Amino acid sequence: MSSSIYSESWQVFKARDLPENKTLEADIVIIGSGAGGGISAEIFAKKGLKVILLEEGPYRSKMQFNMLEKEAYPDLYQESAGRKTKDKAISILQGRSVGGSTTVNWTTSFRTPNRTLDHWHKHFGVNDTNSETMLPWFEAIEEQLSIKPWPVAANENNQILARGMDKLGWSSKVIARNVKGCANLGYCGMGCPLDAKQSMLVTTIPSALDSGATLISRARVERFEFSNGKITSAKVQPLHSNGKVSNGKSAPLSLITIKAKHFILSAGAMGSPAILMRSKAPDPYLKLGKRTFLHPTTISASIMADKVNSFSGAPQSLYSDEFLWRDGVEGEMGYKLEVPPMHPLLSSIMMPNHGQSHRRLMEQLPFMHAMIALHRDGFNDKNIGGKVELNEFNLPVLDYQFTDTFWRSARESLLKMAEIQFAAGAKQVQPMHLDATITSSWGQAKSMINNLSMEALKLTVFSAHVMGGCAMGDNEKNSVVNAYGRHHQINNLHIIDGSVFPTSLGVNPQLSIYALAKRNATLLAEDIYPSS
Amino acid sequence: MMNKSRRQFLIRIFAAAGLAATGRMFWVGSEEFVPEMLDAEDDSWLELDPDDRLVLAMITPVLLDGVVPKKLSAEALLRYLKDFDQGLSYLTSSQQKEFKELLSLLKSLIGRVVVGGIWTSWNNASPAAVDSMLVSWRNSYLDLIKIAYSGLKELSYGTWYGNPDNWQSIGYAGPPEIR
Repeated sequence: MSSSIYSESWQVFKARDLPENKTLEADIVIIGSGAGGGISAEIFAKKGLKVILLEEGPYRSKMQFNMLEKEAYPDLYQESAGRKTKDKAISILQGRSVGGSTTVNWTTSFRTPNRTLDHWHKHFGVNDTNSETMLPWFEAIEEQLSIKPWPVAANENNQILARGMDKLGWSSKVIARNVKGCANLGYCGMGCPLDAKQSMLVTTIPSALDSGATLISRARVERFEFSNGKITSAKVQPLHSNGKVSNGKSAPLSLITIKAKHFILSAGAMGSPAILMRSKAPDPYLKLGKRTFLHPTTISASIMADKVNSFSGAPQSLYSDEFLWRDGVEGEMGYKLEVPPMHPLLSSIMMPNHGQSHRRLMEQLPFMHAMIALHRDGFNDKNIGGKVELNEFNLPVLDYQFTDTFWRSARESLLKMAEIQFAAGAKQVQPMHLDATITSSWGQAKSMINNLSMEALKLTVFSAHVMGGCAMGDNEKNSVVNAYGRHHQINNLHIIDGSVFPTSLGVNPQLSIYALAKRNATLLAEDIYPSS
Repeated sequence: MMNKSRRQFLIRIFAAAGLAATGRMFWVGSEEFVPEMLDAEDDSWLELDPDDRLVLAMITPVLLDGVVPKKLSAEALLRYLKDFDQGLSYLTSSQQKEFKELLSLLKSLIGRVVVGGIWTSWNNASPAAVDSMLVSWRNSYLDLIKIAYSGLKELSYGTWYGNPDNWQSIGYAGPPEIR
């Protein structure tokens, strides 16, 4: 047994170690072990159902989490943390190991905003999913994952946000985090080396395994097979340790067949639509993979007089919603303000330019504070998000087009972030844009930012929140699943992950996925296997 | 892969003292090193062939100007290229294909001249010529060129700052000791 396996009794395999042409059977197959799949696996396993949980990435644990970017990114993220939209204009950070993005996220936990839930009800026919009906599910999952407002003093990187907001008469608040025994290290993005982060990897998945679930890592579902409107089996492609179908020397490993009564798709907003597309699943109203949202995120770095050491301490502990709903729900896009930890590798990739000017910024890394604006996409007719397609390797790629409302919001956010940074005492501010120079006063920053050309591949845009693509709603003409995750056309398929959101959320998504997953998996388990 | 006579030709060119005169002292620290870097028979390289290595050895020290020591040792450049190669091996097939297309383009005569603006062979490309190539890519109106610029930049810097040996100059002490 390898050191990554905690208990001798657990059924844990790498797909490539299973016998060739193997056929497995289960009551429920769950595809993806992130927020949606992790929560679901525990619920079904505890019901006494035979569960097989599949994960495309590797199975890692705190033993391997050594806080090194160069090892964590290729190992724990989709496409070595270098996933990009089709036009390469947006970099997408998405987890890919057991626990999914919950293994590498920054622990930031928000309930779905009421405004977002109301908007879904009003415009997308998402019924029974409002702040009242969801409240018990939020409370239950917060209890289970120790989600509480961070009680420790925020690190300097976060304090700067609060200080600047305060100086300008704006508000900031404390972020709730899913941690237990957190030592305030600051390396959440590389996997928690202390098991303090209450990710799926250390909570629901061990619990599911204790209840007899089987976990298979390095397993990519190639497609479903259908008969009479139902899925009969999932065809699984085992992957090599390089995450690929072939390791360059041998032929691709043969597919494994997994038969089950029910299938749960929890492969995330890129993975779930891709599996259905590869399966040529029914999609009569052409909604599959459409309306995919990102919270496209703009960045502003600043140099402070004193050391910030943003890479140390809880990465996100303070935020501001001052501008999130600045023009109502459906008007101009709004944005949430947070801060990112600036670790060397990722920081060096974000910095505009190269050579000497890049060096001058990097040399001040310990003095660097950065702020991010996460833009709320999908809340009006003009803002339809992107669409997932399959590339020549049959893997998902997102075609996401920017809109004028995003460009306006992006410029506005660069202005606001620079203003806040100077108010907090920044000596210099560097907006993340290819043409932006470093500025040493708010006045200088203002005129420079007002003259920047807002265009793709010039403005640095990141996303860590892929949502949508299998939207929920009661009308099958404009959605893929109903509010309980049941697929409109495929009887024995539920989708339980961030792909079901009809718009972006306006908040970091993990808690919204957990709560909806907990409700929908609990109700489905009761439906399949009623308690007496 | 290069044939043997071409390889020996490159070795000869690189080993020539003329290199120092063209101002590329900072990476050609050791004359013996160059043949090692371009050795076509060395099968420890995962993704980069000798021509790829040559192109990257000419471009990355200019891209990283001010970051790499003025006199980067041959050993350090070799390790850098090995790290680069390792990083490439982790990428998806799609990412690898795109990067290799860029390298193929730059290795071709037409790509080098039209896309790179490099009129000499790669082994004679001056740092100034490489720098103007990078600046013109950065400011290009063509999306594909801007993508080439950012892709090359991300891989080059990611490789450099992924290496703990290069953290001292940016005042980063590395992760805390916990075990």
